[in-house]
Amino acid sequence: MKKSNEIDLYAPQRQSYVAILIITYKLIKTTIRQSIPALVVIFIGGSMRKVGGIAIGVIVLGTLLSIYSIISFYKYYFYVKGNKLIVHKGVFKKTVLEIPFDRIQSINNEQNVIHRIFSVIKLNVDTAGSAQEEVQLYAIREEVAQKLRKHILDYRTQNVDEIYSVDSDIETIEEGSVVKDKIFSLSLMQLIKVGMTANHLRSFGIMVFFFFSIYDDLEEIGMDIMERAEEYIPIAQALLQSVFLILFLAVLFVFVSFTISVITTIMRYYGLTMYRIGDGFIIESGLLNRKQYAAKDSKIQILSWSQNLLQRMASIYTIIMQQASSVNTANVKNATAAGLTQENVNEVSRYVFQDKYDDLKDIEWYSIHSYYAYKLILRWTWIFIVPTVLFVISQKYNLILLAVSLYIILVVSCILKYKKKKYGLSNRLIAIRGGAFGHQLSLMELHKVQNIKVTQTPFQRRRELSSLAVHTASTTIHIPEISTSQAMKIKNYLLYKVESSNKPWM
Amino acid sequence: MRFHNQQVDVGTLPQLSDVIFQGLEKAYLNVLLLRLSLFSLVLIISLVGLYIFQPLEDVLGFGYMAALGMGILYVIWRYIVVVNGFRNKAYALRSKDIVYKTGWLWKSTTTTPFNRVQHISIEQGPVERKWNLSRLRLFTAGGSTSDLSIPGIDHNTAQELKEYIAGKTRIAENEEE
Repeated sequence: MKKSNEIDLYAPQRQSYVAILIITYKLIKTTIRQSIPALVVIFIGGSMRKVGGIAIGVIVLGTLLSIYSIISFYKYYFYVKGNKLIVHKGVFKKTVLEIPFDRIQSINNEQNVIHRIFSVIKLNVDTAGSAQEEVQLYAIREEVAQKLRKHILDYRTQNVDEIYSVDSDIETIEEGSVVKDKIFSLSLMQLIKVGMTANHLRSFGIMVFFFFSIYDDLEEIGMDIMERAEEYIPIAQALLQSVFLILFLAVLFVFVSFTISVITTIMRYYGLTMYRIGDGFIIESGLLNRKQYAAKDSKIQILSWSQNLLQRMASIYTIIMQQASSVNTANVKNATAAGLTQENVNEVSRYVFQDKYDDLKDIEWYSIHSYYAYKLILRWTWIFIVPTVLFVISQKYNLILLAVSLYIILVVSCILKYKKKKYGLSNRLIAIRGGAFGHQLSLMELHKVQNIKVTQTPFQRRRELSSLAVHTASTTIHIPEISTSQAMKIKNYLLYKVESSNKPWM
Repeated sequence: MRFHNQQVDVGTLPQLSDVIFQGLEKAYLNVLLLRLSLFSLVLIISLVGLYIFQPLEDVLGFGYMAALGMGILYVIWRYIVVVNGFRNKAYALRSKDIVYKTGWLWKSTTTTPFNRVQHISIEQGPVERKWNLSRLRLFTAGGSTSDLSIPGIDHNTAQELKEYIAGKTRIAENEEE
């Protein structure tokens, strides 16, 4: 008890010495992870004679990393000043971080074995936004951690109405209300419908991607690849040599990818139920791995719904609630639900936007400049021109046919993309339409804007065009290829809206 | 609580084009040029070395010459880009936001309202310290791609800017309650 009274949070202090150990360990871990390819080459290609050299290398590297950790430990200190947590750090580059208490989203304790042995705590101080803003105190004494935590929370209960905590959203939503209103749930038939209309092109792309690339880091396989996969389709096609092989592989790939996407979609959305609770939503789904996503109204930055070509025919929608959260919890950021009817979409939107949702009815839609289509087509043309010329030279007529037909489809999709891209502004909302063969609509309240960026390339300057990027705490809304004067107008309007409003963005 | 929602004529909104921009400190060009010169020196020396010693026999002398020529052209191009890039970097402080524009050929202008600033930091590298320059960074919840980062500000000015903006965000917070 006496000890904790001695702790002065206002005086600059370093972390516990255990931090040196932990920083070194972390550095070595990341170094090894990044040099895995090199190590593999050395171990496979190199002979045993090189072992000595490697050992020396490891020792030198280890020493350097340890020295680095020690210096960074001594350069790292923190203290409380007013209502801010201040952290000084940096070995080569001095950085001073100031974190006002009311911007802190959550404070998490973490203890692994090393921490427990030395009875220290790793404290993650989380704020919304980029990773540079997060403070990690790798190892501080338990008493210090407690005191700091209490100090910040005390301040917050006195000065901030609501305590945001990224991790306890589900609890706060459930605590806040008794009524659990079911918005909709998927029946088995609807589930099959969702599975059949899933994005088969994507799983096709993923298959082709796996076919042509060796993946080294299992951790990185996720949404990243899914997004990149679609780009691989034309390249993969071009690489295949004979018609029969193409036909056979095509049928096989289509069949397998169809099956895969149906199965994964059904596994993911099995028993999907969406509830309205208090001022938020809860979405439950999953067959083997049942997951629960929470989305609080105030945290939703952008609400979008979409339909691909197949979903259009089945008239079902997929809805995505893009939420503000820190980088550390990126995996729980977006709450997604599939298989919604138009009525469900309207109901959800009305919950999120209340009467503002009516603005959408008489919003005025603006088109973007046709240079957008031209730019997209030009990009595909560059990609296609080299392989096509090669096919012509080598007289591979069926491949020429394939490339040309694929190119035509892509050109059509570019034109559709341009035609569908529309934006609209009301007094309170900004809306973006998009899609090529399908539809997409995103809605955002104006006061959710964080930051506005207007860009102009040399090619745009000749045409007096600009592109607008509106950053929110979740994703960015892009309005590409609009006239510079229009971009300025929208920018001024949005800035006016943000700067004259006191509404919190979450 | 009073609720204001009056009609606004878009034409009367504060225009960003009226703003007078403040260029970066001249000394920052020295920092940029010093960095580029170090890089160029290493590049050119290694290319000249390759040309003189011609380590790979199956590559013709002409190949090394071409590489050296391209290296020199690239360095000249970098100097043009850096100098013009520096001239095009500027910031402007308004009562409710800060504007930063950058880019010579590919231009961009970022505006961050003060009431969205999460926190502010001042950074200083070893080279910048020589000229007493700093980089001011404004963090918003919009993620690292949208954080505003203004290099080449006099260290004292940076401190003042930081205090000014911090004061503004504090006011914005107080108004909320």
